[in-house]
Amino acid sequence: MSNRVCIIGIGVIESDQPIIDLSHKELLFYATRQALDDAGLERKDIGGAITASYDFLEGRSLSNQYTLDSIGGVMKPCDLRLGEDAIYSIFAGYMEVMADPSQVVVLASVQKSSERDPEGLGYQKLIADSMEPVFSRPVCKAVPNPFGLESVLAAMDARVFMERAGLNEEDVASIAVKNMTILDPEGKRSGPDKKAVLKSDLLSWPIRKMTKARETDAACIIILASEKKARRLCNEPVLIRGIGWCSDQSHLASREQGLARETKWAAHQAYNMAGIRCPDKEIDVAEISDWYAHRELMHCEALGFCVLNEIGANIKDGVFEKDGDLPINVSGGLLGRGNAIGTSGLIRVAQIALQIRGEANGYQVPGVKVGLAHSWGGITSATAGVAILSKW
Amino acid sequence: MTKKKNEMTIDGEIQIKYKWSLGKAGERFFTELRDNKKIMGTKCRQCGRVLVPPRIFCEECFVEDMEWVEVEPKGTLMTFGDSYFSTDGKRLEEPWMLGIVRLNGSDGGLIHFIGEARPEDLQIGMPMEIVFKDKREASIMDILYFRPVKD
Repeated sequence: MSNRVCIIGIGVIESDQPIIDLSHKELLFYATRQALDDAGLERKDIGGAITASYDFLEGRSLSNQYTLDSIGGVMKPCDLRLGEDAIYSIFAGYMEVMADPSQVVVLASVQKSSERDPEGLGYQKLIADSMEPVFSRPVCKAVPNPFGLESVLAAMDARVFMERAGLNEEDVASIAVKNMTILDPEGKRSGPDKKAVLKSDLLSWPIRKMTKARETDAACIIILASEKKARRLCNEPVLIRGIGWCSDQSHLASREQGLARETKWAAHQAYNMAGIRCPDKEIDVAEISDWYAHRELMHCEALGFCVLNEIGANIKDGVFEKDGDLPINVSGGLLGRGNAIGTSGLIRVAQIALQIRGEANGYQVPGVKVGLAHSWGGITSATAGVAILSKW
Repeated sequence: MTKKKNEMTIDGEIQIKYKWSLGKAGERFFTELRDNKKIMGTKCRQCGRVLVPPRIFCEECFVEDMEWVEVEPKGTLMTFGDSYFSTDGKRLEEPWMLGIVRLNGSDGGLIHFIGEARPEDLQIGMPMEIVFKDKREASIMDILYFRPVKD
């Protein structure tokens, strides 16, 4: 297996505040420069470039046309545009490197929620429009408060899952507390407690302001190369051992409710490829979609980290805490870091790669050998991707 | 990378109108709904599933071997959600609610409003029925809402 695929460069730019002083092109340039420097490469070394984001969220049709020059992709063959969560760029990039192991491929995603809609309701306005147009959309367009639609759909998802798993609001709030806890260099904890989460604005029971990730701005670049090439280029390539992705039914109402079927099958595919039989024992750390706090738990079940009726006990035993048996979202996840919709999927992969390199400053889990990154397309979608990374 | 006081921006907007075909399955479904207050599904002759919303093909067996069947306007509440907010952000006395109902004998489900009930009256798994609009125009909005079945 000399042509396995490795991550050789990482560039992430995130901010708690809207990044208004940089255009999306400048943001991508800085992230790419960071990743090239990380890999010790220059533009001439780039073989192909893949961009992934949602045109409607960016407000640019064919938005790759505007971003290729920022990622060193002008006049490079094999440039590819994915209108998908950016974790999908790992899958496409993997295939490009497998097809031509001499290629170095740049994966790019940018998302500036601060550029969308003056009231910050851009994503809310698009929610109804991402529903199936004939049977579902007219209903979703007719709700008295279109800006509340996302929360109501998420609440429908959470309610049936919580009933299946026998969880209460406190259980879900504890996930928000875990992911929003910040540890300073001296090990001092800060962040909201369970009481604060349960007192935050109720959007649609059980979805609250603090159990739903806020939107943010970010850019992420990952550079891939074949194992053979990576060995020459860097000391610590991170191996991509397994990938998998899957989508469920197009009609939201026809899907099995309270179950992340697409994540389960994406994981199944990735585990098979990586030769993983007991994910709860073989995976050292995971970054998974916690867009809504209950979703982290739903995805834990789908990823095989625990069985349904043990979720509550696992929360109480702190299994998913930083010092637990299977630390999840130690970076803060989407609840802690914010959700740059689409781009955050690639950031999950970057976070796991940093854990494997031992470079996750401030939240490094000791001795990480195998990690899992997961992303999910959001409440109206049923699309998920999984990548399993390991030490080379 | 932090917010500056004098950042400069330029406004933009994309506006396009669309017309969505109902398709063969949709035309039949919405015509029956409008003219006869009937809910029609398509039954796959191979796997036996009855699809509502209907399709002219079974996405599992991947064949076009379907027959039309009428489905009861009654079903099971799969899940629901409520909101106490109106567009202007004001708190409402009565919440608006959406739910997913799987009609009896069918696979799949419909998402629609829930009426004649308060959130505390609702339970996942309870029987629901369709209330039709009087003046119908061949759209999913010819259904007014689902309500709990009254004994």
